[in-house]
Amino acid sequence: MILGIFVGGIPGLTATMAVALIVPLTFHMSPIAGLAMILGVSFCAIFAGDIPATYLRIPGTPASGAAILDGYEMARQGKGSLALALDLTCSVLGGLIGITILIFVAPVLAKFALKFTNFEYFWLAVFGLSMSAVISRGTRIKGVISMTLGLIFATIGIDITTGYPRFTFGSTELMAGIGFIPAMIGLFGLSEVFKYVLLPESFRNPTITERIQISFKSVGTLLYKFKLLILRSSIIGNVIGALPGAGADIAAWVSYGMAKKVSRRSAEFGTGIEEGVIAPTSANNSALGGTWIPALVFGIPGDTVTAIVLGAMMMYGLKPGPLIFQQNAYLVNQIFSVALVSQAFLLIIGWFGIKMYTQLFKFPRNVVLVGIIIFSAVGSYALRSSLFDVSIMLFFGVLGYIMESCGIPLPPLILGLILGPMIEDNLRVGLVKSDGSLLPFITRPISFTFFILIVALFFGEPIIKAIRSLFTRRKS
Amino acid sequence: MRKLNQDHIIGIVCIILSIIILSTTRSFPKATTGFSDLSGPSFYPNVLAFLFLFCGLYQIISGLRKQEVSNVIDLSSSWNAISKPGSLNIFVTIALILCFILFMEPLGFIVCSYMILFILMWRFGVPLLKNAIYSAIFVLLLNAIFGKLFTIYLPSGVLDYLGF
Repeated sequence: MILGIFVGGIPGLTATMAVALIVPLTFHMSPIAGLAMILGVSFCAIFAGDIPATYLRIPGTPASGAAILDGYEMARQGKGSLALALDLTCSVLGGLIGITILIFVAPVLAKFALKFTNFEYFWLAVFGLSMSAVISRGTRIKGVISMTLGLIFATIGIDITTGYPRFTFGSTELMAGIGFIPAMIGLFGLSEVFKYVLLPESFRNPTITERIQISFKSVGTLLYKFKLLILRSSIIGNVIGALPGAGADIAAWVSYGMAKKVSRRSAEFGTGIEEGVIAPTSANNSALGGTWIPALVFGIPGDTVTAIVLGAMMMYGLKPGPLIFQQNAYLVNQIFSVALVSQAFLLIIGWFGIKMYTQLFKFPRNVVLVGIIIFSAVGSYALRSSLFDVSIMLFFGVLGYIMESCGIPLPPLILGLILGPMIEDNLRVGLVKSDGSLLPFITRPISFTFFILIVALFFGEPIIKAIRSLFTRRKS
Repeated sequence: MRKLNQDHIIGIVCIILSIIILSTTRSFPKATTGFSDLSGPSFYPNVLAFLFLFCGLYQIISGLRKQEVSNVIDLSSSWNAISKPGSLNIFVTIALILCFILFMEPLGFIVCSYMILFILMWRFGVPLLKNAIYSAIFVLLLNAIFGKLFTIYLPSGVLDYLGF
């Protein structure tokens, strides 16, 4: 959790990166201890991202983007401590609501998921990928390019059905495929480092001069006043988080937009009002609970953090999916309990985090960057004691930097890498089951629903626009 | 002066990659059982290659439609951007990670990591004394966490010969 606070609070270093860095440390732990660490890190990192967002106008993580608007304005008005105290308590409350929804919804969905066959799983995985490609930043086609690239990387290695080595080019290391964790560390860790080393003038972080004092009494009054806003934002955050490919950042923006639309003080949003801080910060932590719903129930990551979690779970020998609720019910309950308990720890560690971050902001960025570079290299090596994995990390670091420079989003690539084997296996097994016919992929009710949803995702907006323009032409 | 659109470059890269995939999969064996190509190892990568080909063509066509000056890459200014002092930091970082890969076994984790940390911090402008201290702290911390706590094999290298 301390690592989460540390990484999340450093601008540019994401919660995904914090989780990617912590995973190599969990290799030799029991599954529940490892997952507890990952949970703690992710919740803390999302909250900590709001600290530089409030004081420096730089989001610590993408999920803190929406918190900048009013948080920074409050800090400028000398109410930075209040903004952060609200932020912390709303993060805890949002997290609790999100996990409660997870506890009640996930087992019900798991029962439904038992009806899924290869045909449905194929479309579900394609749907998850399509979501990430469509809602990622940048144009849709760039999202599809990133997604396809991830799927292509996933084909490297021995073909499970025929045992033929594909795209290995004689390398024995590539026979086992691309290591997921080194790729993740490279894409989200090293590529971020490249962005910052390009700006030597930013090596020295700005420092905070304001003395931080937190009053939980005034916070309590505000929380009571805005209780409905917290509940609504948390539910919105959780639902968005549960959509495969969407994450805490989108949840925070949608929640902020919704709060602005509904509020009586709509015009004051962005000028430093409490509602503008409460809405996004409740939503982003609640979204984390939501992202675990598709991850646990279907084995489809809700966002990049749960994508790493799925990788880690497979490493522990656990198979996420509906059967995990029957075969590993005890472990699932432990995960839920740990998630709830971590909220209490978030309140304590987050409070110390705010207090101590004034000191951390004084720590020069150049030292932190070097630390991340070496940690990325050693973390990638640690998985299989393989220097080849460090090369993979370096390759994906450079690739991630180039892709981001071209405006191509990274999350669809990593989701493609994770979901690629699932898509291919279900497609090929489905084809064998149907004697080579593609019809069952669209004639079964659930499969057909997914198919329509995917078509709507890509072509819904242009179709609606075309219909609207047709109507306006007729009217005129 | 040559002017290239960013969409064109992405499109061309996509098309080249798809051609490489399609030509590589030609050497894949045909399935002996099942439904001819559908159950063979080349079926799925070929589908992805065609999807990539479509994306590449789409990017090129959309690039041709765009007329914005901001999206045009001037190769001479791109070279100026690459030759900025900050850009050298990226190349130094890549070179040092490559050194880590090449020299960790012969030099050992502690020596190799310390040298890389020291050079990187020096390059990033950390004062020498602080650099030496921070590098030592990082190396010892990583060695303690990964080597001692999680018993991951970290090569000793030259320290072995020196009797450490």
